[in-house]
Amino acid sequence: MKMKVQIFKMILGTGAAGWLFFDAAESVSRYGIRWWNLLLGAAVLFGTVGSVKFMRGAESVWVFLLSAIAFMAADVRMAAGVVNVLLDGYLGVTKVLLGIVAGMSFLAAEEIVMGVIAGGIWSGKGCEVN
Amino acid sequence: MNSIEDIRKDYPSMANWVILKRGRNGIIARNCLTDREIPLSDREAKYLKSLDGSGNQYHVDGFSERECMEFYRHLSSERMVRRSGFNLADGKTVMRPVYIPRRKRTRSVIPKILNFLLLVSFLPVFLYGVYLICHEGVLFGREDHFFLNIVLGEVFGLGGGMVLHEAAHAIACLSDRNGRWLEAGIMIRWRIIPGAYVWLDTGDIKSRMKKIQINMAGIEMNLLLAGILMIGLVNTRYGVGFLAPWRTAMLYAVVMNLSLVLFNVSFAEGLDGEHTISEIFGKDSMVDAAKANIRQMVHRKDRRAYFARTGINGAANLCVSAVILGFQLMLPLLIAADISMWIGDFIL
Repeated sequence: MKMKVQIFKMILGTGAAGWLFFDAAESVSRYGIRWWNLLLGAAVLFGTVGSVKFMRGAESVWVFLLSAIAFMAADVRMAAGVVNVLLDGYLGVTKVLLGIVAGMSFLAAEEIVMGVIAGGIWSGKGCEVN
Repeated sequence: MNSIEDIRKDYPSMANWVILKRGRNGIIARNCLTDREIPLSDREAKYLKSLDGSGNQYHVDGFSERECMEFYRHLSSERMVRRSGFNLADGKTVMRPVYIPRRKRTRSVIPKILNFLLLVSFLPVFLYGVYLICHEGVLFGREDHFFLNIVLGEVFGLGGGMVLHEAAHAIACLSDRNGRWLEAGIMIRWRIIPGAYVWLDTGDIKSRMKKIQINMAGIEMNLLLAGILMIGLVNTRYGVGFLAPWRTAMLYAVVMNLSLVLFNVSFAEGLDGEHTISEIFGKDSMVDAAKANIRQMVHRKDRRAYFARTGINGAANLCVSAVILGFQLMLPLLIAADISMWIGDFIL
């Protein structure tokens, strides 16, 4: 039962962070971006990892995994936006391929930032990959 | 310590990737190529230091012929001598050194200042550039020297971006008193992609954050360049300023630098992103760790033992490994996208 509660917390936290990130990506326009959503999303994600008991000792791994899930929708949205602006008039397959590459690059950048912050919060802990 | 002149000579020389240190039990040679530490006798270390590429390795003053043969065989098998000639190849990458510094580390304050300036300026400058582009827009009318602009933008954007990217890595490394710069050069990765490299030794640097910053310094430099060029683009939008005729070149240089950022930040093996994430997780190579993880899933016995040992965190490890391995598709995807662009140019 307790495990179910922890898993529920994890799903809820990741989902909330994902929605906040996606909303921030949706807001990107010439008028700016909702920075608070990004900060709040990151805080929710770190809060989730910090509060779920079975993640203790492997926080960096979980931050990596949950970030990948939470940022996925936002990255797809941003990649689609970039591709539609920069590759107007190109073949559809080119757009899809470069969209995937752009999305992967965004994800990698986000993972690095989240990893560095996680390293700062849980220094010396949770940095093991078996 | 040898230099680029030494490896042009006819005979083998002491490899520039070997660092000799005196420990409690004698001299230790750290081989940055193989990542091994090998104890050497005083005479063997002296022999190694005397190899400068100018003389026969079997006839060295002060050493008998037998000693020379013995020492050379050992040092050569440990890859501590560099045979005459340039290229280093490891199957995936061919590296050709262009510059080998005589002094591998410095206590000068200049790298520290430059690295600090890079660290504090890259994000504000880049974000300000993006802000200006979004708010002010970039007006393009009829530009003179259009073709020349494109060529200059591509050449200076990519070439200059690459050189400064590597310089930023070297500066970040030298800003730590324990960081060493072993060589710089050009390379061909995976037999396809040309590029530049700096070979750094961060083995003596204690701080993990410093190592992460060294790995990210190149990307920081490309973001700084892109930011400066974006600010330049916006400030010359009414054709004012001596850079106004070269606005298209600036636009291409921005695209080139951002492409370098997006390419280098990914977790494909050997790129800056992969080095950084390996450092974050405290691994030599995250890709190798991911492969080892996935390999444990092949046999049921190994799988059971793995999950019994790691529990739910093991499942998370596996997912992370799968994501990391997924990133290895980046290069094939990029090549496929390039091919589809060419095909599209013919069709459309």
